[in-house]
Amino acid sequence: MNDELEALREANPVSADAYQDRSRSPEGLELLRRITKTPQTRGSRRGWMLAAAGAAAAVAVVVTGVGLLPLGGGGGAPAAFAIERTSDNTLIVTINDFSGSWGLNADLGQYGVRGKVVEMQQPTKDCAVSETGKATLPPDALRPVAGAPNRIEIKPGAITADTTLVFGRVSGAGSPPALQVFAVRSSVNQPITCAAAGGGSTPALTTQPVVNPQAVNGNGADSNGLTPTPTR
Amino acid sequence: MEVGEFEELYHAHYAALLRYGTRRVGHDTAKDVVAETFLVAWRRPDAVPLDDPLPWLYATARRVLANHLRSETRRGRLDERIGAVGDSPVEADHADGVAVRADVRRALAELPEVDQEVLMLTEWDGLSAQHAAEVVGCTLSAFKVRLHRARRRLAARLTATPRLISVRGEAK
Repeated sequence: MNDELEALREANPVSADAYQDRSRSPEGLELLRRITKTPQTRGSRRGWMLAAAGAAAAVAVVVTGVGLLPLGGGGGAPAAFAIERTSDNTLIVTINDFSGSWGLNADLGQYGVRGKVVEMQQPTKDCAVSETGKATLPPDALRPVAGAPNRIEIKPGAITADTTLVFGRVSGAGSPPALQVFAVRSSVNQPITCAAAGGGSTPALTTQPVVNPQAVNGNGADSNGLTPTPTR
Repeated sequence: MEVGEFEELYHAHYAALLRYGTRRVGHDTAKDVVAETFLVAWRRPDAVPLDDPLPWLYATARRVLANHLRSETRRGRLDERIGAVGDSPVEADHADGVAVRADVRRALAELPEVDQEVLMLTEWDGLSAQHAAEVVGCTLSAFKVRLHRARRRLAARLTATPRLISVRGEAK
């Protein structure tokens, strides 16, 4: 049986010293930077959050009247993103820094938003959703927050699994970003087109900073034909 | 977990996790697996045993991988594994060894998944039996039994492959 084990070792497709120092390559360091900008989940806070969510489901009165209930995004310095839940279970998403918004999908998923969230690279003012690409949502599914351009309200039950929420900046790179959110059908190829620099139109470019660790295809920004940028 | 601690963890184990993923699903997908594994580690700092994090990281990568593979057919997975081997940017197969390695990998891929995993963890990833047992979530004694049975089934499958025996004979 030792011969077979030796043959198996020799058939190892990747040598034992492969990829040394790859974590310090530009790509590796960029990934590290993105991850560490993501809000952490503290154990005790997490427990409290889940307990609060569970209690809310079992006894609605627990959260009624509390107002905004912070559910994610961490504390201290302004978090890259935050999710708050109102007494009627509406979620309010705040994005302060797109590049640190990894994990937003995972957190939204915990609170009933089944769609995917991806980030768009072009200014959204130059872009439009095709008729076939538009997701059909109830009128109050997505609502801007008056006076807070980097916040949006989401009604959890209104976002189906076939919907992708595409987050983008209306224009420029201001901080915090002025959000515009498109709801597109995940199954439609290239649902968003944007004006190209030299005229004509081009598919929307998206990146994949918002990964759901629990998702079957957590990096699936490209599954609806949106064009991922080669950021990692 | 402070940023400095996480950076240390990241640099210490990035390569091992990338090798782990590449051996199973190819380099490109492995990079996503590594990214998601470290993202989980960062977001759940209390879950990471900093004194000996490697088994936890492998176990997390294994779950991420399982999620990834769940949507594929078994045949697709087999093809991907075989294909991924050829696509690996760090592999340098030569001459007759190519056929032998392809046969061994095919024999491995045809084993039950539990057999594949214990064999790959110990023989390819180089984990100790104790660490590998932690990765798959069983006791050390149970793992040793699994490993013994997997080795036996691999040996039986290789012995039943005439081409492999012939090529191995020539190579010696």
